[in-house]
Amino acid sequence: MNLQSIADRLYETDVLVVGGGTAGCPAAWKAAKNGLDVIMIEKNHTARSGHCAQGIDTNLNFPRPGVPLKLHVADWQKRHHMFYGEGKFCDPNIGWVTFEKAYWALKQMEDMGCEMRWEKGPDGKVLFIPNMFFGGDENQIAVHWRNIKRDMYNACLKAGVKVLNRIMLIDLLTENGRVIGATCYDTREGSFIVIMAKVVIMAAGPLARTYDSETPMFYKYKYRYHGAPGALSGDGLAAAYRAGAELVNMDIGNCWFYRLRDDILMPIGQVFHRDGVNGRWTDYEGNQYPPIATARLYAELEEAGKTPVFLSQTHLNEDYQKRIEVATADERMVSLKLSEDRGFNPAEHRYEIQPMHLHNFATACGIVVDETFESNTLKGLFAVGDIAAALSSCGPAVTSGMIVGEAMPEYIKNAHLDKQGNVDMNQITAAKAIVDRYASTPDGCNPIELEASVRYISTVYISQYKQANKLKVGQQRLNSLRREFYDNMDGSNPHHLMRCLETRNIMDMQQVHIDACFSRPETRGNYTWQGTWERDPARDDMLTYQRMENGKPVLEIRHVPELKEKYVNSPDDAEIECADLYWDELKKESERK
Amino acid sequence: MMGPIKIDYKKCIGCKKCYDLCPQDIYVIDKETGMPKVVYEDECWLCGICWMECPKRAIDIRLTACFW
Amino acid sequence: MKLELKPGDYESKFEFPILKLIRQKAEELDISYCAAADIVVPEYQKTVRYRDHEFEHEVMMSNDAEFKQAIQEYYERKE
Repeated sequence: MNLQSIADRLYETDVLVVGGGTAGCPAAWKAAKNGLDVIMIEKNHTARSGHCAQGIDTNLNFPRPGVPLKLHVADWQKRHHMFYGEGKFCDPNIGWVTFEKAYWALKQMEDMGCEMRWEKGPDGKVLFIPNMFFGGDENQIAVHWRNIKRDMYNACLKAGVKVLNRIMLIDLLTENGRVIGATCYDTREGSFIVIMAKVVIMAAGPLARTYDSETPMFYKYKYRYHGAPGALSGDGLAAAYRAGAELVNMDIGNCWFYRLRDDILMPIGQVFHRDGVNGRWTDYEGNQYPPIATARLYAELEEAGKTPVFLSQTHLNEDYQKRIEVATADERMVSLKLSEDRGFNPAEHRYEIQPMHLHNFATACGIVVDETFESNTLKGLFAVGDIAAALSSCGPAVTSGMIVGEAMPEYIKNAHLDKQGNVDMNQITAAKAIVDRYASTPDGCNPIELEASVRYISTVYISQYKQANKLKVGQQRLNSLRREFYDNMDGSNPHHLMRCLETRNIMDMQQVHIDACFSRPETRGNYTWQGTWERDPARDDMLTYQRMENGKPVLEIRHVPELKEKYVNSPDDAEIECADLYWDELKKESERK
Repeated sequence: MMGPIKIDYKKCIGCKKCYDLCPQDIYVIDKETGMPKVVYEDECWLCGICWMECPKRAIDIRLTACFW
Repeated sequence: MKLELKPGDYESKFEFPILKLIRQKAEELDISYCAAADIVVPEYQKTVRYRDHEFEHEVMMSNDAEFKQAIQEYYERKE
């Protein structure tokens, strides 16, 4: 048996990008522009997939020109600490390069042909928006990218990237600790695909579907919100982990501060969230509270008989209401339509707030990489965007994608990757067997139903408290689910089979999560101001690292890296590439108009 | 019965944009008519992409009772 | 500081000015809502008058102060 006989389709390429989102597209585009053969696989359709599928409004994690890079990095680390408790959760070197190249990445986006609609202040410069959580801290820039996915997709096609839509990753192929390609599944044709690649750039997004969505699954609608369910099954994380990549911070769940009862109607980038001019928290009688909403505060109000609690925009002036309309039209246009159907005027409506539960993973979690974004344990595997540890939101996704795409020719040359790797047919037949098994189990369980059971384990047995005995029972339940259903999911048509592969990844990541939770009593009860129940100061700067080694899961608790000397020793006003030049050009542009 | 998506087949031209772009792959194309149909209705997350991308505005997206 | 509340109104139908314009443009040119929004939204944004920076700054600073106070109270309570 050889590759040609087992694979329905076989490809060979320089660079394989897994995931066509706002990290994958820049990486693929850059690599192609630099003369390499690039294939990008996306399980949905690149033009409208991932977290930015409907558009994105504002761009997070931007360094302000004139503020030393070191300060930005320190602030960025501090922000994670405020979400997750004491300690440093992120490799500062990654923060450094992401900030350093943020404006360079914006320029590349322009070259890509992305439509950038800027909001400018009276001085003609692009507006910085205060971080909603930290008052005067300005690290978001006011830009509207309604059609960012469409633009990035077109740019990739134009640059010669071979974009394969509706293709789902099964597993990575490896040879002696280096990644050499991947096995995939065509979710329309039902075919088995092998892609040989010299480098794999993992850009498949984060994980959240081991938890229920922000809004719980009522009735039959399985993917109520969750931001972008397609991007949240942790496919890339699971495949990377199974292949030997190291993951970090998989003990820390996350949530937004509060849930809006009419949330289906509100986009993520709703302007009054993002620029410090908040909606007001009020109780039914109109008494107002500080704009930090936590489960603890909600519980206190509940005890005092002051709930329900609401968030209102009624104090915002007319221009502000218009800005909200524009932001909604740019980031989730359907919200306008659904709000109208629902029958309320947002200028007058009070959005009911309900206490939040964990619904995804920390932004600090993901594949462990150094500041070149290469995996520390699996050579040739790069991680960009939300899937990489320490990266989150659109700005760093684009920046990391551009950095890695740019670095590809040099990397391939220096690693002497002239030829494709030698495939181990066992890895190929194992992947094919997975697909064949699901395809021939028409009386198997519904994969989405199995996913719901896995999520239930998170809700009841993990939650933010992660009590040891509950974890043990949760582990038992996961064991029995795995024994009974992992290999017995109904994949009797390609759509369902895709869901089987997703649930496989979700279950694998649930196990990683439980293992991490067991190991870190001090990260229990730890999100949004809950603080740590069992904090061990000696482990404040230590993180939970997990990988597969010789078929066995390995867990280590180690220190997070320090900022490297070359960055520590850089001058206080170390420049952020392009920043001033960029602002000057924008100013000229606004003067021309 | 009411679902999240309603297609007005008088307006639909069978361009397949909804089928191509849906990030949850809830559509199929009917082999005989060439027209799109929602088959995985319970996987819809009301992203509105089909609604806003349809060149003939033939798709209506509705809040079903459980989303209300 | 008390907020002047209006009743949460779930009964009346409200129409967003921006969506009305988008629909009209889409009908007029027989294009998708998305394509119509590409035309309408930038124009609509221009009708937003000069941003009231003082208002925003004041809200932001008061948020910041309240936030810092809440953090302090939180840590005091913890001890």
